[in-house]
Amino acid sequence: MKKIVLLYLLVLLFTACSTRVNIVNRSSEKPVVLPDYTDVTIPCNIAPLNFSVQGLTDAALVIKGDVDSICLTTGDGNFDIPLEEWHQLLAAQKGHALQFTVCRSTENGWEGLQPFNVQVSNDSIDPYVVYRLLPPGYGLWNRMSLMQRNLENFQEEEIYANRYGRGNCVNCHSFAGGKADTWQVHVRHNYGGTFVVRQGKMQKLNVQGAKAKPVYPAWHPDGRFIAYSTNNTFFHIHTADVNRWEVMDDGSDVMVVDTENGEVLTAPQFTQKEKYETFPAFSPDGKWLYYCTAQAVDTLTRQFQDVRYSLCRILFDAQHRTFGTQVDTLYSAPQQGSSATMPRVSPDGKWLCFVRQPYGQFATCHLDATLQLINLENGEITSTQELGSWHSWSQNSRWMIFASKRDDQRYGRLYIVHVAPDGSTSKAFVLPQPEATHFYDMQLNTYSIPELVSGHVDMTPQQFQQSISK
Amino acid sequence: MKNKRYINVLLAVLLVLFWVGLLVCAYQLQQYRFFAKEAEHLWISDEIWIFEQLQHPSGVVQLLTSALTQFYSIPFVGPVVTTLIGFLIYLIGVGCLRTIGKGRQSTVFSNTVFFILPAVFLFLCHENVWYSYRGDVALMVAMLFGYAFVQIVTRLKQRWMKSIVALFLTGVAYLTTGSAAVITVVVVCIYSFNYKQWLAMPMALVAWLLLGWYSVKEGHFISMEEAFTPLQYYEWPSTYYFQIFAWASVLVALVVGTTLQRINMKPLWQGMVFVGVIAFAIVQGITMYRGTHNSRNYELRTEEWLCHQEDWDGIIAMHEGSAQQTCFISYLNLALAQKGLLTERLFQFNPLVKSIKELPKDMDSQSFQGNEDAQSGASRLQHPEDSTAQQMVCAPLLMKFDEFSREASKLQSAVQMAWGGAALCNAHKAAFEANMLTPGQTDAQELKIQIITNAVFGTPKVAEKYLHILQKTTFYKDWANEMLSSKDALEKLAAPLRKGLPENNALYMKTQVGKTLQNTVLDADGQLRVPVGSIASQFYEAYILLTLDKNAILHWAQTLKGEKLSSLLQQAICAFAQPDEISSFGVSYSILQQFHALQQHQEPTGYRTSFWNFYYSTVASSS
Repeated sequence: MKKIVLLYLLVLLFTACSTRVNIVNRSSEKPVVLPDYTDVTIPCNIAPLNFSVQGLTDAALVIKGDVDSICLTTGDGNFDIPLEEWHQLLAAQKGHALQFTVCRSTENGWEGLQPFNVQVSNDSIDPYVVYRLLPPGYGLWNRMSLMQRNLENFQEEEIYANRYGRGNCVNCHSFAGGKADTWQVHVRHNYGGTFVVRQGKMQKLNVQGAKAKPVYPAWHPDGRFIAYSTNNTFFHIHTADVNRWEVMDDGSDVMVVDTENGEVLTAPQFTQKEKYETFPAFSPDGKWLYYCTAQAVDTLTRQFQDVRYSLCRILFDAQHRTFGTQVDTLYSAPQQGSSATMPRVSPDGKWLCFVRQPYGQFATCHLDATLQLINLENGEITSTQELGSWHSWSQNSRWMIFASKRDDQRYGRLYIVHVAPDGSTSKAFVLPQPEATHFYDMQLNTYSIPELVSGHVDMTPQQFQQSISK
Repeated sequence: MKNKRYINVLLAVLLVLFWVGLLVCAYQLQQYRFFAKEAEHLWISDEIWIFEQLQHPSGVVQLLTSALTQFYSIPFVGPVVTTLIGFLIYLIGVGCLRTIGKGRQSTVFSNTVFFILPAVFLFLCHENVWYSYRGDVALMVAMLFGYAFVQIVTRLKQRWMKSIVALFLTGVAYLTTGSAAVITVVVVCIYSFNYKQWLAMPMALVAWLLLGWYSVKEGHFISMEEAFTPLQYYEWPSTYYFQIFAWASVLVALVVGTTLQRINMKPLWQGMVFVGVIAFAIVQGITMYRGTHNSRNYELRTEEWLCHQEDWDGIIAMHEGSAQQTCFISYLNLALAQKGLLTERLFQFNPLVKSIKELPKDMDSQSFQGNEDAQSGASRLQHPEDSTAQQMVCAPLLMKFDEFSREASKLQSAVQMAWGGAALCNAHKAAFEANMLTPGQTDAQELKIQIITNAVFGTPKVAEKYLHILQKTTFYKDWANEMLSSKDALEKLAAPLRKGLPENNALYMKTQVGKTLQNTVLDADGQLRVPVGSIASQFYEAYILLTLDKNAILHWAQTLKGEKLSSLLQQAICAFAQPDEISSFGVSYSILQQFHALQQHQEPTGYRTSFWNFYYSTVASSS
């Protein structure tokens, strides 16, 4: 019996020992790391940054912190960092950098290539992100899902999949204040409608007197009002442009819906025939309603490159359900010569992030669309230099997640960027995945509309389908 | 005794004939459906992909299906393997019956003939475009589990062990095959009834029900219906009664078979039962096939395949005699253009061309009134009561097909890829959509098109992505490796297409087929920018002839001065040009003679398929 116990302990001891990597030589060669996690800043609670090294199969990795380290070896060039050890290392290394050293196997032993750093921020990121997963189609779709992913590990779950709804479409999911129990979503075609979820219960929102279906949503912080745009949308493809298609609005307005009774609130500024208004967004204090507006044109299919959106705001009085009369312009398209769309204000109210693109309003079509920041205190605009759109702020205003097609110009991937209190941004990094290189190489779906959420969305696909079927 | 032997020989021959007949039917009536199965279940040699398939119930069947269907691009393989599956189901059924009925009446043809019925119903399942081939494989594998059960339990003595085997095998059957595991349950039940093993039956049922319920709970299936019925073998919800019949016929075969084993039937009666069932299967099969077969859909699948094989003669041959061209963008027109025959034989297949026995009495040289522009020409053909005319030219999409179907997208990608130029963007889009609408998004043909078009449009990383996928297939990896071997390999295919793109970007308008073709073949100055006789130029010429676009026809003829003009174009020139200018366009003497004969109210040779007959057919229809 004693022998068995001893044997058991010995086995435990061996398996508990981490891999030892003895670097005998150093090289100045830089490893080609895929995805590119070199010199990024990461949240202190993010999932492991699994990656592969191009051109190497037998390789080792040493992740060094101030006190602890992780050592791994691989025979196929892919590094799968153990979850628990990773989180322990992050917890110990908050506010400091981790040094990653990739080593290649040589006759004499391990040769360490030039190390790179990964800065571990003191700031955590919201633990979940909700997004759509679907092929990057044009007008048609086939399968699509609404997914939630735990950012601290690799767990991904379906909130809804359209195979339940016989091929319907779900879009424009939006969470009030990043809360997982209050959100809204549109369902199109089968079981169509706008649905609001409060404390796990989903109900159809009966919008009274709207001229058209609500589209892009934005929650008021009090959770009672939702601002929507109503868009007459169509698309065309380009005959000879690297941007494959163009989505246009031949008419759009903004409205605010009182979810208590479905009543539509509007203002003359939002319903001008000679202008297009779209992409509403509330400020965190609920006092301002931001939106984008552009001068309408006669023939959109010929003049689509002349349509440029300015970014404006107007006062909103939630108590009296009224709007102000004065419209402030934060970004003037005619002056700037480009379009501003998708405004989102940081939860601390200091920054507004929007997408800048040469013209038009649907940033997904524009590979050159970049994220811009407006300092709401002094109106200064700076570029993050990040190509992407559909950004979402974390609740601590320190992180943004957004969709970007920078890797291949077709499939959107989720990128995370750190925003410092002074508005400076770090190098964005792609959402970690197990076997990341293989995963993204084989992934034939695009990630769309990521929304950071502070908790788990307690909704199964069956419950979702049951609710919309009522 | 001798009679019995003769009867048995006869029945054996009949059985063989039945299977041969089923093979012939599968080949003649369905082989082009099997080619499409390869795209729906493309095999990817990738550990992670394989592992992901196994995460779901029926994942093993999915892998088996992919392993089989990857060979279905080879002619004959699909029909042969499918018939073989049906035959294996028959054999396994016979094996089950033999084991269950041990000690009783030996298994004879009449007992076992009912096992041919599943094959007949599975054959009919393939007529549903949403049906997944997994259904066939799942039924066979589920039967195999049933057979394994009867083989194992007959060697066991303890009842509780038999129950455990029932529980275990049914569970594994469900995880392997999905809802078809009900067949395993059926076999267990039949065995239980025969040997009064009452514990095995509920154990099998419990395993099946529990795993089905758990699969729904875990989100593998969307509903209990999908978990327990053939619905899970359909891409989208569809009627699945043929699959139900296939399953039910296994039950019937087992019940009837075990019952007949207890009856000592005379050979003649056995023969009659046997022949009766075969006759029933054939008659019922034919009747049901006629009721469900969508000939237009199958014709399209056939054309798809022939296009993929570049068998242009085959496509043209399909339409010879029927003379019913339906749409401008069609495989037939593509085939004709590939053979350089589109503008020669355009009106041979045009339903607008009617056989006019009498030439119009008031016809003279001024009677040809063309249209001033393409739009009015197109609208001229919009006869409210004749939707054929409207869609013939104006709608580049399919009649009688859902515009948003995979078939429509595949057709557009094939034809507009051949056009190139201003239509290439839509070919790219259509190829993407055709692939997206394919289960698994693994239609290799459409991926290949997108690899080229992504290289053309400056998104090579997407091309690489698709090439990496094709590298993991059996029959496309060589091409993928070749494309990845050097940067020049793909560029060789992309460069000529890129050169043909419009100089100035514009928005593609799907309703403006004529404009797209015009922008492809002519530059901003109206000069030719593609080779004479290219696919795009033939389609352009066909379009302006169909729309009776007088100005475009004359301009086109002017552009082609010095080149050999098609007969139809020469006829149109005769119709629309000033009499003293006709010869300057290079109209041949014989065409001129025909035109003069026409003007003398004499029907010239080849009038039936001439431009003039088309003109009068159209004018007569619209007046």
